[in-house]
Amino acid sequence: MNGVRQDLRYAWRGLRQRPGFTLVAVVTLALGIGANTAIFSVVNGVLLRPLPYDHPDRLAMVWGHRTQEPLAELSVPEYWELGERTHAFARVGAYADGSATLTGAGAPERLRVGYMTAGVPAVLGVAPVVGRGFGREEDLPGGPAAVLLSDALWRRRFGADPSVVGRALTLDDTPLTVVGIMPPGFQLPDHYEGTGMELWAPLQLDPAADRSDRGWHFLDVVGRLRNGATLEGAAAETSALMRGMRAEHPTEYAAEFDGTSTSVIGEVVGDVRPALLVLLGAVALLLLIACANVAGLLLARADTRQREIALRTALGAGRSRLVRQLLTESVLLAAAGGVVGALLAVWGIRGLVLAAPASVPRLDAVGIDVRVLGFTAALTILTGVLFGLAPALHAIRGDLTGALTDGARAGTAGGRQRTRRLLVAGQIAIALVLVTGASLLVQSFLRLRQVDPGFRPEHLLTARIELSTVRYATSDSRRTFYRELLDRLGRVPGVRSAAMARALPMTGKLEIGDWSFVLEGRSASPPLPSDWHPADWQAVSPGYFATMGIPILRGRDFTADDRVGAPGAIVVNRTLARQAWPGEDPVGQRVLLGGGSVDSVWRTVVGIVGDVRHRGLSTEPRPEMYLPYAQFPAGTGSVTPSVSIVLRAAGDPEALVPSLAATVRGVDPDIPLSSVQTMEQAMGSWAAERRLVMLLVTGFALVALTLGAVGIYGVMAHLVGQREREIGIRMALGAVPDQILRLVVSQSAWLVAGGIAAGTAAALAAGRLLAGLLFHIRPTDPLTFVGTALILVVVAAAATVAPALRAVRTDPAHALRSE
Amino acid sequence: MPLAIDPLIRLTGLSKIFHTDEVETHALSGIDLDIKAGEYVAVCGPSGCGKTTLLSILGLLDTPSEGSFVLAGEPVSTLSAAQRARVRARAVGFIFQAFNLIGDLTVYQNVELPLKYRGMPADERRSAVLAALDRVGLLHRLKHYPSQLSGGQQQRVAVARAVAGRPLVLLADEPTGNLDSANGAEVTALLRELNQDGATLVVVTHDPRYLREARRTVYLFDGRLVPGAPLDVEVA
Repeated sequence: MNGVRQDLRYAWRGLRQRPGFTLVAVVTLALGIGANTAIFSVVNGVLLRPLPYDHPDRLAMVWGHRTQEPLAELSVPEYWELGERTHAFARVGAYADGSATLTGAGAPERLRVGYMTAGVPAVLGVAPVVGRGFGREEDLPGGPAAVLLSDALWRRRFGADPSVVGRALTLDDTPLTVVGIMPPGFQLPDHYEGTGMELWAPLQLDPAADRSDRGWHFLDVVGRLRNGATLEGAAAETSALMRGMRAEHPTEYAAEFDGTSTSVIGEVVGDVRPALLVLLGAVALLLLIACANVAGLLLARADTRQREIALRTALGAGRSRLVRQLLTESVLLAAAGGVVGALLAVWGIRGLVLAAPASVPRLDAVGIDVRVLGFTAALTILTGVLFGLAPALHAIRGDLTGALTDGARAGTAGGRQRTRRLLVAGQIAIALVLVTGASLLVQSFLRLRQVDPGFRPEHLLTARIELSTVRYATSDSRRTFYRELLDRLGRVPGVRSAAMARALPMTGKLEIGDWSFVLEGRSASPPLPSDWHPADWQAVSPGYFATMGIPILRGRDFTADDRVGAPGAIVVNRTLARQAWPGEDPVGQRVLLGGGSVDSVWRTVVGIVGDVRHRGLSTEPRPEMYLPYAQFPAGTGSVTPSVSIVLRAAGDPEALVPSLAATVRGVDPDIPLSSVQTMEQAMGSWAAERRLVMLLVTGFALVALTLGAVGIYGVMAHLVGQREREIGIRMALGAVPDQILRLVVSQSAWLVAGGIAAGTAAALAAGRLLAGLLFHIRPTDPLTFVGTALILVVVAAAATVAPALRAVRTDPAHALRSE
Repeated sequence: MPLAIDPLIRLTGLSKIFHTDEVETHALSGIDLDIKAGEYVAVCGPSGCGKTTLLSILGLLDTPSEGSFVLAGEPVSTLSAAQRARVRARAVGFIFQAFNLIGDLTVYQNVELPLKYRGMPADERRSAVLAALDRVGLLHRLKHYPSQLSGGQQQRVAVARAVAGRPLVLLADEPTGNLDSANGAEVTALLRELNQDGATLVVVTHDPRYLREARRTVYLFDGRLVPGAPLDVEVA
């Protein structure tokens, strides 16, 4: 213990005596450890921290889907039959999301609402912390109106007053009774993105409802696996169930309809996991570079400490004792780097959470906890040993006798130089991996931005409005409101045109959903599964295409004449036109949407419009059909109370925000506006996660390049210093300055070439991990690799200039005299 | 090796002043010295008298502050560093007290190095290197590294390196200073042989045992040549 204290004291004194060295080493390590701590804290919060459910690994989501199509929610009959006909699940629950305006307790506020069956908390193994869950009668249609509050809403809106339980709230003009408060951080499985839900109401599904109507897929379904059941078994059983339903209801399902079950954990974090793992890999590489840099500094110091080490050996210090002392110094350095790094990480985490897009789930769980602190401490010790071991071993292996008798001539420190060169080549290799990754991500991002979205996003202002389903209970009242609003908005100065749609492209996580239809005269009666053509569906107002800048390729836009009672109209996009009517003109053809009672009118195709990348720039356009909102499918219940407004401005769209708000207030002062943003902002948010990963990896790559350049400079400067006498000899033997320059540059060139070769191999291997984040560029893109290698050559050349010039300027007489 | 130009080296009024901060150190002052081709000149004097500085200037490693230096009829005191390097590669061979072999190069490569700097074709280089190493009796050590040789062998490699390019003048700075007496005698004999074969030799030493080898000795004191000093005599 005494020896350790002595080592620590000596190491501390040694570091204080060389403030320049200590500062550079601590800053370098702090950058590496800080970046790792910050990213690990995000990984910890998002991926590693268990979901707040009982045994979350035993929970599964249940989906229906067609081959090659995204997973889809279940319809009500599918949900009931899942519970009745499968054995893998001990219990299942369903939920959906929506929003409502809370009034009567402070200012009106639009809140996200989760609607769930009464059994969902039991499935998840979660109970309210205050009050109770929903009773069976509250979950039946027409049952007592009850609501559960989130902990956040309870604290924010009700000051964490437990007596709020039992009180009535008004939600969308409907009184509900608060029955309980859910635990802090609770969300339903796929509601962890953004702010999440703030309250929950019973879903009130009707078990006696008609089970033949299966087309309305809107239920997220979660199940708890029965003891002994596996996720694979549940997936197989779900698949068998869905295929059985397809056989029992051939007119309701497409031919390839199937089902599956996925893990809840994967559902919550699956999308963001690859990006986080890439970032974790990137910071790990950054730390390796930092370690190599500090190891290089320590090796350089080892040259100057030969005499001291030799003296200690002569005085009886054993090798292990010397290694311990030297490692104490490196671990002390790492500890200082760790402390500064942790402070940097605190800022970094705040910045990351602020910069992270809403699509990253569980951001509220990101922070420094015991696990993060443990990670940082372990990383710090490991780092200290990692960068300290090689220099320590080299220091005790030197020519100790020579060091004591003739320090100046005690060998050429060849082993240390070889290690330093290896370290620098390694730094170049790692920097190349990071720069290649950053370059691929930047190019992906730029290519993505060049993709034509199918509409003109400039000068567009968008907003979401949600009508009270109590005051606007009928489709007619909603149509009247929308018509009035669009009329007024069209007359606002600065507005070129105004329109609305069920869901705008790339604005948040609004699901557009698909719907199948049959072609008139081309399907059996009743239609066979193969007769159905699936397509995403939209409901839009007249003028939507012109406002959005979506080209009408043939036919016409919707008009005010496409109203209730008029012949059904439909507009299709180019992809749907080609798929459903290959080689023919769809205009004038008639289609019937599936679902029987949902939409039973034949609709005539009145126009073809250009493709829109509704689901994001990186997703190819899908077949899409547009219905006039006035002819909103009656069978869905009514015209949707929730729509997006889009305005095309003559100038700056943001300048229209006050007019938009005033106009909505003018029609109905109690209708809240939400998600007010320009289309370009909406598209930017959509790409925000990709952008953040790109910026972070680019930032790490720049730091890596800088550290790599410092490493090359350090080694070359040290080599030139070490070889001053040799350079003097070479000059005495007739070397001209150019030949000395070539000598130094060729040494650097070999280091760089070795680093680039190793780095290229590593980057090719690592590229596969990046593949999922790339767009229209292969992870092995040769131009990127050549460009990256050139960048490293330029950086290395810049780092070599000063040492090379110093070598050229060597005074041979002085160099030989200093012998 | 001797040239018809006479003298081979002419120093006239040569001075060297070093400036350190605000201190001027006169390392050499008013040196007038002629060295004929084929001469064996020993330069001696106490430590700090300017011997090594004189040798550096003679070897074009350094430039005089004042005065002129004419080598083989060509004024060289005002040449640029690159020009001096080229002249040095062609005209000067160095032998150092500490051998100054390059540890990463083999014996062959060490001897070949000045010839490469001179731009000599590879086949000529090879025969010149082999001849020089044959001369010093180290042909069997071509692929050895300096660390694998004894001190005497290392100095013989250094001598081979100095003579391989058949320079106009060989400059030796305490060539036996790091050797034991047996190896020292061997190297001294080798230098004598080279001189007898016509090489011009300028040897810095303060060891009186080796001064006798030189045909002429010049004595430096406080940066000046001391005329009529006991050792400034031509040995018959």
